[in-house]
Formats: sequence, structure tokens, C-alpha cells
Amino acid sequence: MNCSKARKWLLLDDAGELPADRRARLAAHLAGCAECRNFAASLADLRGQYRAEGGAPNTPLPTLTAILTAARGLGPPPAPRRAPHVFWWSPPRALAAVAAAFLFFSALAVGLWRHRLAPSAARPSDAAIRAAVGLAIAAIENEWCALEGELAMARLEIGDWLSATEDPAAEGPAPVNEKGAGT
Amino acid sequence: MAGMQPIEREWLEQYRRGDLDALGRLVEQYRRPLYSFILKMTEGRGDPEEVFQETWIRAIRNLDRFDDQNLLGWLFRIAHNLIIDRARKSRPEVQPSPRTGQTATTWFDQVAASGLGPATVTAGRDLGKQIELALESLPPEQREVFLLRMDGNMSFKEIAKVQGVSINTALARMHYAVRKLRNLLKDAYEGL
Repeated sequence: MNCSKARKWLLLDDAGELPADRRARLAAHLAGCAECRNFAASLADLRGQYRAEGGAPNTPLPTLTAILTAARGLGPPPAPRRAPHVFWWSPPRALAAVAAAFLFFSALAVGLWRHRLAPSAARPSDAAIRAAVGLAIAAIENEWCALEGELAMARLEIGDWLSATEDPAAEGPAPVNEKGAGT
Repeated sequence: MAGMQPIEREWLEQYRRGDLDALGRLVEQYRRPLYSFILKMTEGRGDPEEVFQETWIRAIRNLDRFDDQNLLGWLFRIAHNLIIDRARKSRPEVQPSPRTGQTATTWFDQVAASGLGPATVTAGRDLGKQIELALESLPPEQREVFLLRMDGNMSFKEIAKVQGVSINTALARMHYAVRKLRNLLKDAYEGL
């Protein structure tokens, strides 16, 4: 592991985002790299100093009065949006359909395979069996894609296309991300 | 970032049922980290208290779109966009480059580092003041990542989403911020 990756992992670990299986590798790197250990110490020091000395604003905190007055004027908050129940689409129903299709085609494939083992002049070839299993898998994949498409259409219809964690009333053009696409 | 505390969820539910006092408790709960972030990102420009109030008003108006995951993170996101909007509106018209024909494409070009805001040049030995000055000297995008981590305790995944960049870019910005702050504050550390 190079230092660039190690420092990235250090930052992720500090934020609680580093997978547990990577911590041992990070620890092994730190054991042998003084510079990365210094970086880790810097991060810990800065956090401690910032929270002890630099976190609190030097100016008085704003009062709550204006916000509560405005909230009173706005009336009760809007109720959380709930996705309407669309009878023909629900995740459990879709999963059940996919599972049933999978079981059906699996049973068909097993049946064909057993038929192959029985002595018979009309036994299908290995290639035919592989083709049948491949077709079964392709059919399940197509079914899954179709269900995903239906879910996307349902979401468009109910206007549920905004990520709920985005700013709901961002004004102006979207910030440009590093790939050049608006967010 | 840790999600909402159970008590915060309870306050949110109470406010949704019309309890204004519960809203007050939420505002109080998040007042310090949110205001600290806004103050440091608008140092010397605009009215941070106005941004703080507008952030909450916008959140209240659109509470139906909140997914109950992380209210503070959502508030930081709103504040970030408000700061961008105000910086765009206050910046004079930028002429396109004669060579490329392009103008500034990121908000960080517009929210230029103030260099020195209301904090004085001679910081003295006060560590808090020195940290404040050191933060002001960071490029705005690095300052923001640092503040979102320290004030908001946001994950890099969330920070990347706020800034509209990849998680690697957010990590790189934090890395540079830590290195610069460490260099700027090493005298302060040695004096402790």
C-alpha cells in the first residue's frame, strides 16, 4: 500500500467509513511509515484543537425568535410524502414473480438434465441443455429489467424523482461536478 | 455521519404534529454547528445570521421532502446551496476569457477566499483565533470539507454529494486542508 492510499484510508477510518477488513492493512502500513503516522496524529490533533478552541463561533449565536416566528407564519409543516400504492406494482409482488420464474425455469433445466441421464434415443445433447439453461437465465434477466423499468416509470409518475437528501429548493444552475454533468 | 438521535427524531415528529416548541429544540440542537459552518464559509461577506434563518425556513417549507435520515446533513446541504446562490448574485459580471471563452465554472471561483475577514491580522497567542485565521487562509473548497467534517461530522460520501464531486476529490481536499492547517498551526502547537 502506498502512502496516498493509506492517507485516504485514514481519513475514511476517521469518518467511520473504512470497511473493517481494511483496517488491518492500514495498521500494517502505519506500523512501518512514520510520515503516515504523523499525518494520523495531525488529524487527531486538529480535531481536538478545533473542537476545543475553534469550533465555537466568536460572535453570538443567532436567536431562535426569527425562525420560530417565520415557522408560525408558515403554518403546519407539510406532511411527509408517501409513495401511493400502485396495485400492479409492489416490490414483494415483483420479487415473488421473479422467484417463481426462476424456480420454474430451474425446474425445467433440472428436468431436461435428468432426461439426459435416462437412456433414450431422443435425449437432448449437452449443448441443447446449456442453451435451454442460458435461455432460462436470459428470460429471468429480461423480466428483471422489465420490472426495473416499470418501477422507474411508476416513480416518474408520482414525481418521486428527487433524491430526498438533495436541497429541495436549490436555485440557479446546478453546480458543475468534476465530470462536467450537473447534479 | 451518524443519523439522527432518537430524541431528534421525536422532536421532528412532534413538530410535524404541530408542536412549535419541538422545532425550537431542533433549532437549538443544531444551532452551533450549523451557524459555525455558515459563519466560517461567509466570513466577511453577507449576513450569516440571514443565511442561517433562510436555511431553516427553506427546510421547514420543504420538510415533506426530507427522508428522515440525517437532518443536520440536509441543513448543511441547504446552507451550502444558499451560500453559492448569494455568492453568485453578489459577484460582478465576469467576462469570458479571451483565450478560452469560458468564465468561472465552479462556485469556488465566486466564493473566493477572503484572506482575512473580521478576524484581525495580529492573532496573538489565542489558539482559537489562530485556528480561525488558518481556516480563512484555506481555499474555500478545502475549508468547506474541513468544516463539514468537523462541524457537521458528515461522512465523505455526504460531503462529496454536497460539493458535487467524487469522494476521492473530497478526500483529497481534506488531505490538503489537514496538511496546510498543520503547517500553519505548528507554532501554536509548539507553544502549548
